[in-house]
Amino acid sequence: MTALPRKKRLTGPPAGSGPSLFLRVLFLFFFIFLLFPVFLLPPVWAQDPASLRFDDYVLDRAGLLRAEEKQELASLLADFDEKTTNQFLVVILPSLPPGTSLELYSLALAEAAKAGRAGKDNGLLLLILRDDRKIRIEVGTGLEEKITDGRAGRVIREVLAPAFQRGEYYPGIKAAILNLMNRVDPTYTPATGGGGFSGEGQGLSIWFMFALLLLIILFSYINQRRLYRRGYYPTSTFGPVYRRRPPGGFGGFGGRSRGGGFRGGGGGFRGGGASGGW
Amino acid sequence: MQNNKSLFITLGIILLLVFGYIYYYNSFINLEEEINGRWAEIENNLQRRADLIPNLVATVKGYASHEEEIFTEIAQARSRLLGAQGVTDTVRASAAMESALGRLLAIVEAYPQLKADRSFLGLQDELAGTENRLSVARLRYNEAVKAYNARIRRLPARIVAGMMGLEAKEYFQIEEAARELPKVEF
Repeated sequence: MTALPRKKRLTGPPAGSGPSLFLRVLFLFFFIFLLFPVFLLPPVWAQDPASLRFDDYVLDRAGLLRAEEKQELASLLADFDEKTTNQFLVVILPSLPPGTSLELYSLALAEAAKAGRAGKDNGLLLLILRDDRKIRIEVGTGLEEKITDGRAGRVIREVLAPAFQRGEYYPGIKAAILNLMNRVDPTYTPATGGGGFSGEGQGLSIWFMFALLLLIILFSYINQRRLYRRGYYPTSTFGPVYRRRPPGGFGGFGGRSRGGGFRGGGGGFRGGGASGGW
Repeated sequence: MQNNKSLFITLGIILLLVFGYIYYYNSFINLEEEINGRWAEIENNLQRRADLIPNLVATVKGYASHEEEIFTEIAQARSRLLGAQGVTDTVRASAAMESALGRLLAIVEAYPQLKADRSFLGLQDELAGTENRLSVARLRYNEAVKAYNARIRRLPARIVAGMMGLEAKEYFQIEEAARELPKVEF
């Protein structure tokens, strides 16, 4: 049988030039994935406290923690939140904004972050001001009995201040947080190997997504070739790729790979806690 | 026909007035309850402060027993605070207490061993925490009073407020003289 007159293709590869399409698509997705981490980076926060975004358990605007320390701390806090519903936050800033006091500012931050679950009011904020050398532990209403003002003061005086005076910021913060966690819930134990775990998890997930996407491109390419032979032509370069994208799959993986972003539960504060410095 | 129509209109107006009255009545009750709740929080903290003081005084006396004057002053301020009635009285008593405490802590400055005493430090944390809670409670109380006062002065609501016999409430304002909270900076 003679070949039917071929439909004039506006887009899509001419037969036999598959590899270049594959490469084009590959490069495009590679490009997207190189950019992907940028979307995960936190936005540049303004100095104004009200505009600070609390989407992670640790906020370090003063550079006292290294990236892996921040990661480890954040995953510890996330784990604590998940297992006990208590939401502890650590905020490190260079200094106090003008026109406010440590206590007022700390309360404003804790309320803006909405640390703690509504009704339980089980939030806690550890605020550290690097240049002012001030520390405050803001305790949520529901935790005031377990972390009294006196206890909070002791943690600042006996754990945080000495460590900070030696320049050991992360060890001090970690010890203080573990101390406070233990007071709130003595039965809690941090997940073993929790340190690097979510960090790896995050890296793994990105690569996993990338590999998955490659597979999808590969399959759709193969399918495309198969379809061409049958006379079906894509209406756009990415036609078959679109149709094969798993619905919501990336959203789901993306969420999990972020290692537990913080979301405030609306807990209440009324000024309990203690202040100090070093 | 005409009679029925005017009857319905009259009925409608009466219903409107009744519902309007109920609406404003309820919202005033709510605002008042909010104020009462926040006042209770202030009183809780004042009570807590009063409870902490005997321990604090005892600890200081352990190191500075001859400073009789300040101890008497504090005891007096404390009993005045516990007996205070109404907003104005409470505000004044609280201010007096705060200035007495401020003087006590200033005296403590001269006794380094006392300053380092663990139970003193613990009490100081508790006191500072109470003072902070008090100032937050004051802020919130004043917020509620502001909302209430603004509401009862506006016109449609004002009529209902008049009928209910409601008056503007007082703010918790500390006089200038005793504005300093007892904070010790080392």
